[in-house]
Amino acid sequence: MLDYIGIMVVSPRKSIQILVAEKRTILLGLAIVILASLVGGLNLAYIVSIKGLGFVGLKLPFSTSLSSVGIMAGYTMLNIILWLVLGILIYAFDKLLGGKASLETVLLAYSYQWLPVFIIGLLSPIFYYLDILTSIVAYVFLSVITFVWGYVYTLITNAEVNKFTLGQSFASILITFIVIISSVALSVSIAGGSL
Amino acid sequence: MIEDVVYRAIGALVIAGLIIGIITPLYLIANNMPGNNGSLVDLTQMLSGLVSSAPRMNYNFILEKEISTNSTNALRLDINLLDGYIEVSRAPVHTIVIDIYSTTSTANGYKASFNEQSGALDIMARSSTIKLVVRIPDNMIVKGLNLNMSNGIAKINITEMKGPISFIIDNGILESELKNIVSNNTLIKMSNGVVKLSLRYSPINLSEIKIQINDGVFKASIRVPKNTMLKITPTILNGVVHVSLNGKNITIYEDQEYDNGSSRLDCEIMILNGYAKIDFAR
Repeated sequence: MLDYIGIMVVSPRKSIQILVAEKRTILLGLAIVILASLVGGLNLAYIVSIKGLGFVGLKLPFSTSLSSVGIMAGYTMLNIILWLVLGILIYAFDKLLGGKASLETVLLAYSYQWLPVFIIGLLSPIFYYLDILTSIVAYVFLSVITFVWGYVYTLITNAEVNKFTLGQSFASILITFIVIISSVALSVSIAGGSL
Repeated sequence: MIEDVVYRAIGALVIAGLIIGIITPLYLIANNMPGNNGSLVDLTQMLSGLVSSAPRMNYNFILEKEISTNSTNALRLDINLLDGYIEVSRAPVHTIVIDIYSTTSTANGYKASFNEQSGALDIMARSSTIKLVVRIPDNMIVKGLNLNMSNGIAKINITEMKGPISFIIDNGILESELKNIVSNNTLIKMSNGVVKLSLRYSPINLSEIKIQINDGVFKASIRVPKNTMLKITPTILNGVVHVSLNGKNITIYEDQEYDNGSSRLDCEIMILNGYAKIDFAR
């Protein structure tokens, strides 16, 4: 078990080859996303609902524990939805570029995006010692690092499962992000225009 | 071979990250610990704002915050009164510091004092609106605690304490959890109200508890180790004592003794009017 995880971190290309060869299901990818989301969500909940609300002296109409659970659950659900939606889009653009992987394999490869979140977990005790603003900055900084790190993983694993070059994999994921960002921008502008 | 070791080490690091990343915020959230941003001073100021806007009609506004320490000589005390609170915590100082803050010029009084020679900490609170912070230095062992409260709700958690403890309550609610208490003279005397007492890990060293209730309810959850003898001597003028020993309910109408082994716990309860309920659980 530890070997598997170690290989995933050190050599994503080798590990995705193993996972595909062993016909690992989408559940492994889901487990990675959920565990990483719990780490990210719980730390975010602590920073927002305990440190943040204590700082501004705001008392919620419901308990802090409930608000923490809400933040954590919302964060986890959002990550699962992002994983599924972006994974399906990446799969679609992979196919357009001649990719050979199945949807399940692409989702498994895309779950590597959440793998580096363990860094936030390892450093989570420092949030207790930092003040609220530094905590937020540190959390955002760590999130950016883990995102970029995970993005590199996804490039490699997506290339491997589709027998792409890194350039093709980059193009497929880049198009996905452009589509998502364009869709969000379009929705916002339509919503703004209708008001 | 070396590669395998590296993989396992990194795998262990990832698992550690996940565990720490989940456990740490869970613990902090569960204990409502704001961390560096929530120092005692900030917390006092924050709660001060809440207290000033709190309703003063009844007991339904309760502030709960516990300042804890890890030292073996720690005294943890958290008393929540009607519209205020008393907190006793420890600070890295070597002199006794008792800070008393008053938000209103109420006629009711309060007093907190620490006798350095006897080691006794006395707190008397009759006001409904007080804030009191008592800091006890690291090298000081609190040998006794007296709480005298006329109105309100007191929540007192004490760990690792030697010496007599007495709670005298005229009217109100006392909820207390005592852990690892070594005391041969513990007295709870209440004229009207409710006492909820939880003793954990204490009964082996706690030789005697005297509880006198004139009118009210006594509920105690006492965790006793296996083979503990329980002796209950109730004096009931009007009321009944309900005892649950290791999950089995027992109703006591006169002096009874339960011998469940070699260790000994004596509990004396006198109720003038009301009833006492004691739960003994493993």
